[in-house]
Amino acid sequence: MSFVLGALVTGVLGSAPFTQESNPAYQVRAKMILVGDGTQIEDGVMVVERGKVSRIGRGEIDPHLPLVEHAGVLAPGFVACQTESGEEGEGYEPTRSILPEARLVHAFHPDHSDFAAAARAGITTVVLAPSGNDLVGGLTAVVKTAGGVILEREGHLALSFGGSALSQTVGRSFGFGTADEDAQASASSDSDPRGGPEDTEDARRGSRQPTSYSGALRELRERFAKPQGVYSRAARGELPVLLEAWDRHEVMRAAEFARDHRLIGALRGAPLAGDPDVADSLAKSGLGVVVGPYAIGQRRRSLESVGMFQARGVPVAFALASPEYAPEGLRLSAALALSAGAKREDVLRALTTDAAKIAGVSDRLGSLERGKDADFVLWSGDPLDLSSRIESVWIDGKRVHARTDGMHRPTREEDAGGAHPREARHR
Amino acid sequence: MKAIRNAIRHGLRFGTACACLAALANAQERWVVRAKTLYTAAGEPIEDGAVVVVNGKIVSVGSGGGAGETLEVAVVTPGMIDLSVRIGTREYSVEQTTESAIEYPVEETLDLFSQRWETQLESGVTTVLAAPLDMDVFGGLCVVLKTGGPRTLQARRVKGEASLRASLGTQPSAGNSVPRGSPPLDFYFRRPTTRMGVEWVLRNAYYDLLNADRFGLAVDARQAERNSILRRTLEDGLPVFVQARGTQDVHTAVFLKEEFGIQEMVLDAAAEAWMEPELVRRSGVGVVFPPFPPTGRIPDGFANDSYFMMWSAPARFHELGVPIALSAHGADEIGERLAQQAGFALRHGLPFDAALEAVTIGPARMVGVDGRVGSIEVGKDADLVLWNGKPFEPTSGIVGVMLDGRLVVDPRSKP
Repeated sequence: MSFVLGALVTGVLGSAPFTQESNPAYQVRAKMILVGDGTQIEDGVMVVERGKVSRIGRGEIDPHLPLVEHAGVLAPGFVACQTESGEEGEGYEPTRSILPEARLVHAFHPDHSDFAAAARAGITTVVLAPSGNDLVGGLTAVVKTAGGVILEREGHLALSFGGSALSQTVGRSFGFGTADEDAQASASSDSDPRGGPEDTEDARRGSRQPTSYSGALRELRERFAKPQGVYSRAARGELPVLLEAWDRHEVMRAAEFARDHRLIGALRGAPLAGDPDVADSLAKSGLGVVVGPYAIGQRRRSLESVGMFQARGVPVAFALASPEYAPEGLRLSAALALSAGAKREDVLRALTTDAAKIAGVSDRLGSLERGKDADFVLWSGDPLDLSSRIESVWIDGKRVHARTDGMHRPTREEDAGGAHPREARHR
Repeated sequence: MKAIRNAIRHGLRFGTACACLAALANAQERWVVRAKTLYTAAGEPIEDGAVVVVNGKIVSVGSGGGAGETLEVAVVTPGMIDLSVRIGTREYSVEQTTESAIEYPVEETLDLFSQRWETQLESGVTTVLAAPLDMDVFGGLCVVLKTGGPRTLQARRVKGEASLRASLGTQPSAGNSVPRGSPPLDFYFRRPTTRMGVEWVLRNAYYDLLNADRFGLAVDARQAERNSILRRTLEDGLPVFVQARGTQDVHTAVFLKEEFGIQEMVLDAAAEAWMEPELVRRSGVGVVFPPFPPTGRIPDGFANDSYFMMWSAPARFHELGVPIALSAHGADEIGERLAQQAGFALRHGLPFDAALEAVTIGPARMVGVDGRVGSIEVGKDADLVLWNGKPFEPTSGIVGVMLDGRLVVDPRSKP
């Protein structure tokens, strides 16, 4: 009601000073708008009304609406797929490995500083996901990084095809390399088939089952043969899956399982899947891929896999893996993929449209089209240029972060417009 | 959106078709491989022989040849076969929640991207039997694979469910313990902890089967699956590969075979089988030898056990007519690979033909793939090893390897 009143007042006053509190409609003019779907608009104007994008394009500004002028780039807020923000250590259960109905949303703590940090890095939405140390990890949650907004309480069913889901040593002396490296480390399985010194009897102790790749497939097949509950929703394609797999053979196993059971969703991991056979297999499975986070010094083969997937029409998104990695790592991952030969539009889509698709929220997010949520970031320059800085971050049309280091000091009115984190929770 | 997706799918299908055509084009190449001596492992060696390969298969063996890309080397033998290659995904190849992982297919645990398959291929081993680590009494159903080609099971599998893996001795019980001072909370507490316990688990699986059959007991789906696999070892000749390193394990294996009437049994890593030559001969089991130990003794690794293998054991068993195969256990080191194992056996009395057989057609017969691989005969897969001298001699080397008609190591690129 107060919104409507505010709109009327502004309409009458016309050139009223800009405050979001009293005025749900405003416009942003930027030198460049990246829409998120691959297109860009020079000297574009975006009108935001009640937290949604109501108009976007080139052209005249509306003299009756408050105006935010920006000399840089306006881009959609980034969507980070897979993070443990605010729930570190809560994302898996070391005592058992099959937890279909576990919900990450119950570990969501909206005021946790991880989310503010993510927002400061231009990330407006994240997928909270189990760690991949459980065979069936539970259900992901898709949340915004400010305002406590929960977009999806049951985002994906998380399944893991990785070795850590089979391990008894999770959280203890877990420190294996890839199976290949391990195999070479203990080339003769005769003398020491159980591995190196870290693999002590004590570290192996546990009661999680299954313990083998074949056992894992058996457990999963049994559950999908006559699916019930979340499995049945996943089997019908109503609930996307998030499959974790790291080694190439694990990726092949996961892709084949998804194909056999007609699952939709994405695969998380695959750092070395820059192998044409694996990329083909993934493309055939219809899954998207969540890669990263990439760091300085990442092997080129990992980085190149982004371009390889995208060339095959596989949607790619980046993982945040916070708090282990700083949220700025998301943009770094994208920039590194770009430097390894991926196309610029594709990399941008991996941060926005494709990520929203993989997160399952593309009806509301991922691009700045009319009717979508006004989650956007004002950058000093191209977001993929690491020297660009964030001027401000806006979620649901409200500014949640602004740079305060002197180069751009927000006015008192602008400050007043910042959304209270609890204001819009649980819409 | 749907249109885009369809377009992508279509494009992919087209891409796949192209890839297949390319593979086909490669396989369609016609090769003539000439050798001063051609050891076929199916009869007398052929001097100045030639093998003609079309579409990945051998189409003629003799002295002729004809048109086609020609390779000329000193010696050609069949691709070698190792039945105890031990390349796996370490502990994740083993289901440890049960000691009788009878129904678990080993092929689902493999890492076909491991560099070690390529090492095998380049060292002349073109076909292998993949088994899990012996951390269970029953390790599951093993698969016979090619060591090269596309990295999918469909492409590499020669025979699925080729054998059932079992293990005796100290290895399956290592790591298990009795609850002393601590509550029996995890599944390592209920498994066998001794040789006797291991044997009991093996025997018990067969008793479960026999009881169910004799008394018509109702069994659950999993037990029924286990029983049907065990029944195949009694009725359909599914071979049971039993790791039996020590003398007492050889006894146990043979007695189990005779007690239950297991049709086909092979003793794997049977270091001390030579101590009981008559028993082994009488029982009709096959023997896969472990690699020859440089020190003479093979350490057990778990218990304070070690096994002594006599260098002349393969020769002795050959004389007795026991089916034998040699193995390098997937060794990566040049001096320990399968060709060297054959050389060691040769130097300790095994005739050349028998040594060749023990790494080619002999192991192929043990797992029932001798119709496809193991010898150079018309209609078989074109898996060939090209040598620059008499095979298994220290001065000879492998200069070329062909797998399914694809030249994976090219002799022309060697100096």
